[in-house]
Amino acid sequence: MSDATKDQVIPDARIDDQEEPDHTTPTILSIEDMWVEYKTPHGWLQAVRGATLDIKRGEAVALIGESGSGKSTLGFAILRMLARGARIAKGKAIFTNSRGESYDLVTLPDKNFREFRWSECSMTFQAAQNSLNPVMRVKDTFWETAKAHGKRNHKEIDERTLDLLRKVQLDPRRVFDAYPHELSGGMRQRVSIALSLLLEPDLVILDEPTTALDILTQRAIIDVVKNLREQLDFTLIFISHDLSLAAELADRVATMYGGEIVEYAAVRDTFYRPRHPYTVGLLNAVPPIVGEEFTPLTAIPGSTPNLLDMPSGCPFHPRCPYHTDICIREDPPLMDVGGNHLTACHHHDKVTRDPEIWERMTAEEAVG
Amino acid sequence: MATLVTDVAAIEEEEDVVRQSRLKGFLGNYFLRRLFRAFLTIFFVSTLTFFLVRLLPGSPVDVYINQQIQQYGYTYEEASNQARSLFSIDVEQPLLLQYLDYLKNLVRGDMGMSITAPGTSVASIIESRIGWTIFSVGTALIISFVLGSFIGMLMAYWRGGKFDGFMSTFGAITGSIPDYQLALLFIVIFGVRMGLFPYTQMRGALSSGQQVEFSFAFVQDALYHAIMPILVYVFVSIGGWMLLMKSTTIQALEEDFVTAARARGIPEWRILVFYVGRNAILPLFTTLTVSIGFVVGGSLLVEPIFQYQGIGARLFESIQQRDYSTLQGIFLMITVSVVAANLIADLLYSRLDPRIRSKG
Repeated sequence: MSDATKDQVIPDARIDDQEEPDHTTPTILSIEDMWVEYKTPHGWLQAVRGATLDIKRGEAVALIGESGSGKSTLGFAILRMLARGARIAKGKAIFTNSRGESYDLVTLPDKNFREFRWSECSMTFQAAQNSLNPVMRVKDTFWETAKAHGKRNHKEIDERTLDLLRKVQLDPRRVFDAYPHELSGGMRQRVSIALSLLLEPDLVILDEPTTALDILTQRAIIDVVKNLREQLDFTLIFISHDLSLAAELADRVATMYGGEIVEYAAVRDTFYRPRHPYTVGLLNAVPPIVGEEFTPLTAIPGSTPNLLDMPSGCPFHPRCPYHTDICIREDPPLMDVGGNHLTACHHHDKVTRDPEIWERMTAEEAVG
Repeated sequence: MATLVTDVAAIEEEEDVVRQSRLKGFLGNYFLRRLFRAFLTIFFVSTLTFFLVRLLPGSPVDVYINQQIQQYGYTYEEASNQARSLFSIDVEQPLLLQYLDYLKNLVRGDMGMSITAPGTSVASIIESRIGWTIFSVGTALIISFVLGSFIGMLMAYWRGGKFDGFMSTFGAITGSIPDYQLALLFIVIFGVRMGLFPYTQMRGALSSGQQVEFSFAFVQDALYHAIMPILVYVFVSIGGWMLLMKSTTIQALEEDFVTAARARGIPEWRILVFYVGRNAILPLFTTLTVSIGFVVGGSLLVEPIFQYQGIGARLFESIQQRDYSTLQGIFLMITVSVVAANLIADLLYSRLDPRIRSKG
């Protein structure tokens, strides 16, 4: 584990934070050097490698990256919902609730953690369509969840449930008494989102909230989340591979690659002034999101790294057109390059959105 | 004139539509459709048994004559004369006529008289025997289902562990031993060789002198006599429940709604009961109701071995004596109970699983 470099970088980033105007906003979640491993027949596989992320209260943070980049694993690790055979090998996740109490989610005892779940931090899952018990009515799911956290006022819970169902633009009366199978996929997704807000948590994690939904339903879900953010006060982490979703919903975007956070910046900076070649690669690989001119799409050459056999140095160097010797030797730390824009690249000052450099690399590869 | 003709045609057409829709309404009704099919099944099976039992080698008269000759040294003449005076059945009557008679009586609810036990009706034979079988096999079924699904659930939670490994092997072995062999094994090893239980005293459904009454002594005595058959039934069937429950529980454990419930901070025991258990046991209910239908058939070979006077032992005797009418009666009863159990399974399942209910 060559994380010594990572350890040094966090204080630096914090110091640079001083010039930011928003340093007065309290941090709600501070993930420090998080490592998550999965047990495989070939040994432990590091799915998250020293992720470091500070999330301010009230922000919406998008975690983006390809499949296998570790974004979902990081989300699950926060709620300690990792699958069998997975563990948090190292790291901290300091959560600060609305009363100013801080605790490390990695070491919090199980009993307290059960209370923490949902009342302080809730999650909507990737397959939210299947996240409701098929033999339970929607109202009973809400009621049971509230009861599990010590709320027993039936009338109050019902009113809050109906109100939330209305807020996610469902017909509350119809959905309230329904069984999950009587609702469409999009409706179930909305019920899940409403359910995640039941106990007024400070932090909500949405894992791939629009995956497996048709394009119109996706639109509706995005609008619902936007509205909820305006009406209710919660911090949002959403995990997605969909850049357009990030552009619409996020205040800040964290790009993950090979289990590391390689860039973390305000949404405008990410899209207009990306400082990591991988983010550039992602942006060039999808049609422009905001009213730019049409540019031809370029794929990132190569494929995602094998997590059991990571390249030396920067994990992205085998696919990077900017890479030099130092990239092969040394994994760059996540550093602030100004304006609270963090990137983990030795050549961040050279990175541009010019697609030509990528095409040249692809051509060279073809020749070589 | 022309208009009149078209009018008539139109009226006829209308009537046709009404008739068709009425028929559709009937067939469209799920319950009625199931009921109709159930009756059809019973009819076919009773017809089949009628002809099949008569295909057995030798008629009741032949069997009786042979018995008399072997046991008492009668001549064939003597024996056949006795048989003719005893048996009311006319085996010479054409098969089709016998069949029509049988159907006619059946529709009136009359299953006829036993051939080899003259003066006893089939209904009274079944009535006197069925209770014991339902008691012994039913108790075994409940024990086996409750215990088996509980063990299966534990196996799923600790899958891959020692308990799971041991129980899987145990279930596979006991599940593959035929019940009559296990019964013999019990008697020979534990009864005769080791003398662990007085197998001769335990014969029969009740001790002699014990009245059928509502008392503790009666229940105790009934249990005492039924315990060996019950043990055998439980042993051979529990493995199936365990393995079935294990697989459905593992499936349920991996459902997204279980993960989601955990994330909501629902207490673990509630998740195990209402999320995992509730969904894992659903498929078992169909199997359970169907097994209830097979209660009678399952006792066929075990009851004669333990000399337990249930319907299975009587069925065994009837086959040996070629007692056609009793055979028909018992088979009819088995058919009806299997079909009824299936029907109940369907209706019950729709009550348990809301997803089926709305499709109804």
